[in-house]
Amino acid sequence: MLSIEHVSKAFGGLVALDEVSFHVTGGEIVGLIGPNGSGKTTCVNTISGLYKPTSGRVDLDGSPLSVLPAHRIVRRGVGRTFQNLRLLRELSVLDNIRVAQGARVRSIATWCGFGPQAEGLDLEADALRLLEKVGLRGRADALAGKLSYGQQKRLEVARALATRPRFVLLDEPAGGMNVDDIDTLKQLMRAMRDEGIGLLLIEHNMSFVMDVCDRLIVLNFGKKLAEGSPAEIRNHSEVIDAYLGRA
Amino acid sequence: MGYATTILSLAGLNVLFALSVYITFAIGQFSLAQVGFWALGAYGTAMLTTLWGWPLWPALLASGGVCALLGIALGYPCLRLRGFYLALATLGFSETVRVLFQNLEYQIPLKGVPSGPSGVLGFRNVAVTTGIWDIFGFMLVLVILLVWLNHSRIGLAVAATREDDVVAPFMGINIVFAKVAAFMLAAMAAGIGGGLYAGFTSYISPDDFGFHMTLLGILFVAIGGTRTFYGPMLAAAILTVLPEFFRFLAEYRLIFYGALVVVLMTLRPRGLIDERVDAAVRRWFARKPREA
Repeated sequence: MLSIEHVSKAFGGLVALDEVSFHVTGGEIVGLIGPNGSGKTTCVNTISGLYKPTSGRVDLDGSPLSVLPAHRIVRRGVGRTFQNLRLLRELSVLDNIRVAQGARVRSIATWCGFGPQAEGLDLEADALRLLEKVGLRGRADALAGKLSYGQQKRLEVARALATRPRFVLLDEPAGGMNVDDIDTLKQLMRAMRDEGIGLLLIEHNMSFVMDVCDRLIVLNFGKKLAEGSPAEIRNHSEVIDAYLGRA
Repeated sequence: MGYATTILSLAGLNVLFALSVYITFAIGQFSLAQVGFWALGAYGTAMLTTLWGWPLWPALLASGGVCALLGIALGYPCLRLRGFYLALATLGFSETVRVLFQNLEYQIPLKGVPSGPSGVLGFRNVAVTTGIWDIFGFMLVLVILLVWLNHSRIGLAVAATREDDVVAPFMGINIVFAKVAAFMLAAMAAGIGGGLYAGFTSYISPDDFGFHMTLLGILFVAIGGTRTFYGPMLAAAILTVLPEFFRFLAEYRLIFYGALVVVLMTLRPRGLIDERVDAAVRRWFARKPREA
């Protein structure tokens, strides 16, 4: 279980996150919604280790995560994607995956190029299976920067998966996607959930959020405003006032 | 030593310098500290071999080891710096080393002749211990190391760090370790290269290690291309050997050297070995042997 306990993050005098607490368990999709500037991305950045929390803590199965540097948080099993695409554009699609696979390579021999089989890993086959899953098998040798926007978004998700995460933080994965791409993404997320991965999703597309999420957290001005099932949130009067608006 | 051997050795030394500069660029660090390490290696090796009679390779390894440690010490504070600021800080290091040797007076009599570093006058009568095979032997070691790194996951992690060091940690890469390790390796290579240079020329002076040499290092990687390690090697070899063919131009030689640089940069703005050339080279190496 990934638990966020009383986490605050301040930038100078600006409190971007104020005593936020929630948790994500394996095999569920939790949506993190709220108006622009409500602290959603700050929250993901703090969990993933890009920022250190000003106060409070993030735990993974009871062991502290927020004291670790980002690369060790990833190695513990918490992966993420970025809102603005951050692929390695000059590297091939396959190499983007292979770099991320390094997060679960322990042995020095494997790092040095002497047989991944030492750890019982078949990384090359795994990488191709992962590309198959996100429909990029045919583009494995293309440069990541040459992919279409939707394909790049899917590669970001695949890259997070390549670290073998138990939890994935998705920062607006559907932003700028067309309807077909969003359907593919939904299927992919449900497949991830069914494998027992816990997902935290930031997204503004409400029909997508309501459709795919099991539970929602609403942030407003850095504070948690509400938490509940999509149906509860849809009818929550404060959430409607702050974010959803009245029909 | 014959003329051809001298030119080849000089080209080899410049190639070593280019490789050392390349190693920092490969991980995305614009470091100008290589000349400083080169100077430290040169003086260190010269003193060990000439004043205390060490054989060449132990002296080189000792100098290279000291440079590696200094590389770690310099690498850590430089992690917070980027681009121009990193360039300035590392240039400051190189200049500090140069000024240090401008003021270093340490002479002991050898066969009645005072020998050792003598400030701005430099260090005369350095024991000539470097042979061409020492230079090319070390080059071979570096090339094997770089080829192997490029083909392993370490090379991939280095490429990822160069491309985007904000995102690299989220692929499990310890960028602090990677950058400091690259700094250390580059410093060690420069230290050993500088030592080989001292044993080759027999005379070193602080003026040899000024800004013009830093500039030469940038030229090697800019003209060769930062994409591959063999690009800067090629550029260093060309820029050492080609001016020899301009000798008939006498004092106009440097003008043609400058013109050559301008033409190369105009024709190949991404370097002699850019992505397309590298892809072709890789295909050539990956080709299947033709069936009989």
